[in-house]
Amino acid sequence: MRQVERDALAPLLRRPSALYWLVTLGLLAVVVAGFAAWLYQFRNGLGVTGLTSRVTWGVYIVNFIFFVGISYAGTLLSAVLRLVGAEWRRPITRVAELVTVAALGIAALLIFTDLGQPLAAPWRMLLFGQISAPFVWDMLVLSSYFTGAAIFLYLPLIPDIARLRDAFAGRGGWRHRLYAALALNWHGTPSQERRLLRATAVMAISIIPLAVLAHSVVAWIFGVTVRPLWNSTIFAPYFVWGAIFSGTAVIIVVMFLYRRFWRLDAYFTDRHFVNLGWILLTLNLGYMYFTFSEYLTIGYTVTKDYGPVLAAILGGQHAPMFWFAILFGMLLPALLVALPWTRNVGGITLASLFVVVGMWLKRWVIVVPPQEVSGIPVAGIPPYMPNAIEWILTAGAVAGLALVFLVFQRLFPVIAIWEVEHGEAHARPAATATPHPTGALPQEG
Amino acid sequence: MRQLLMTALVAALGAALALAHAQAPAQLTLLPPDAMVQGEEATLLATLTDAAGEPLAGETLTFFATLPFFDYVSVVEIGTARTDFRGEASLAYTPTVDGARTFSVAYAGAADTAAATASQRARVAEGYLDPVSAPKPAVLSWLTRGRATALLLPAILGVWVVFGYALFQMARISNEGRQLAATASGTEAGA
Repeated sequence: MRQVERDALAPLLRRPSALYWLVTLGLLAVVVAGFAAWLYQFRNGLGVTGLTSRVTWGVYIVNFIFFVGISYAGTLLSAVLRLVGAEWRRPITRVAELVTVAALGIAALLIFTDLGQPLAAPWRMLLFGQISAPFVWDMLVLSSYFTGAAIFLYLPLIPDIARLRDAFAGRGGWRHRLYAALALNWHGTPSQERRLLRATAVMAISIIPLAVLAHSVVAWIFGVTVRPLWNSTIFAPYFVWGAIFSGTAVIIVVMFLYRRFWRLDAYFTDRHFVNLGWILLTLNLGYMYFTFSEYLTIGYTVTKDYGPVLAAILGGQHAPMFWFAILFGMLLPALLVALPWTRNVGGITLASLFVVVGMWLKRWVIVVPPQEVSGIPVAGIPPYMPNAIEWILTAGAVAGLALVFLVFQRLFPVIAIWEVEHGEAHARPAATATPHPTGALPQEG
Repeated sequence: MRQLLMTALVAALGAALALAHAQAPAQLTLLPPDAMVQGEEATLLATLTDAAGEPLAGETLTFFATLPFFDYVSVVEIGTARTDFRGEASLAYTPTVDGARTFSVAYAGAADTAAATASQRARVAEGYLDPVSAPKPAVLSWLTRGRATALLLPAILGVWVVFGYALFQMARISNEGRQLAATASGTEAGA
């Protein structure tokens, strides 16, 4: 058995540590608290939140955009790197694709937190939805994107699941049945490999435009409304770029955690972090350019509609969020990656953490101020501030995402073994290539 | 009741502002059209004069309308217009909701002139609305209506065809594996 197989499967075959259970149970408790908060809100209505008659899209929609955003980069990066033949991608593609599926699944659930009648909404959307409505586009595109991302994650997993099926063959139990069902009778024959490569390539090509469309549609939900700062022609590319930016940062953070706690230094190497750091820096500079262009255009020709919103963002009540996003979410991470003495695993991960927080705040600045400041000047409506219910639900969503990563790594290898081996086999002369290993694996314990 | 409260609130606010600043009062009147029909454009006409009845030209007036939604009534801004030399400002407005509505106009005031408001109730008769904005069951209409459909649905269908191709390949992989296993077990049994 090769080293990569041994290292990737080891966490699945040994018993989890006490720390693992502690963290898992802690996250589960937060998820349960989030669900309880949602049930309370469901029983008593959205009035129990801090949402007002003016700000009806609050932290829930901020969370939705944020999670859709971080979902975006994984599959896209994996598909692009696969198509351009970037060999260094091989160990990290699984994590990237997992980030997409997990975050998109959480984002889909988050939509229900913002609905007054969450049980009736889906079928009403199907029955009464107008195709001219961006919400209907959103439903169509995001459901398609989720399906595509799940297939794209699953395809390269099939050979790795087959290894697990064989490893658990003598033990029986639910894990063997699960792996046997998901392995699709994989034996690694040349014909099966050919079909798998063909399907993966076709999915990689189709997922790229779908990913662009997915986040463009989210942007158009805002862009096609006549509201200051939302009604912007660059919103779709702005959102798409920001999504790849924040998503890349999340991939780096997740890779760091897997590397740190499961000792995968040999696969999530310094080179991966530096390469992703360069991608992050490029995306960062692009996002700064978009932001500068957007605010310069609005600020230079400031109208009576845009003026108060801009004032609230640049120097008013939302200024702390905006300037944190600019200074700590963009400028500081750019420096951390650009300067040679901080361009290392720790510096790039720290930069990514700042990007994640900064981009959440940037989404706040996009969603909340235009609702709060523009519109009819009615007195007596307090500024929007999320209350405990909304924060608990937000914490539940974040914990849910972390829980998916933890559970996944107990069930499936986070390193794409088949892809790594495939890369090694192609790198070696054909005569020395070894047959695909599906032999016995080390026993648990 | 809600409309009356809103009107009273706006009027009280205007009066309070006028008293606070001791500005010259302004007179604002609103003349809604005789007949308003849902989906048809109508003109709201407001006149702004000073206390002596002299027109105030070049001032901005903001128009509002109540918008009933089930049991709730909200007030929405429907537009702004400037007064001409006669002190008149008109706004073209197409009501999308029928029933009893209250239309209001507000003048924010100036350094030497107090703010003023005026309201009128009107009944909007039921009329024909453009199908795009009418909420009707729409699943079938997706195939026949809307320019967006022409772009979006084929794109989504194309993507699902690709998904179908990937699923087809997965099914073939599974079939080949099953056949391989059957052949292997047959060979073992034969041996």
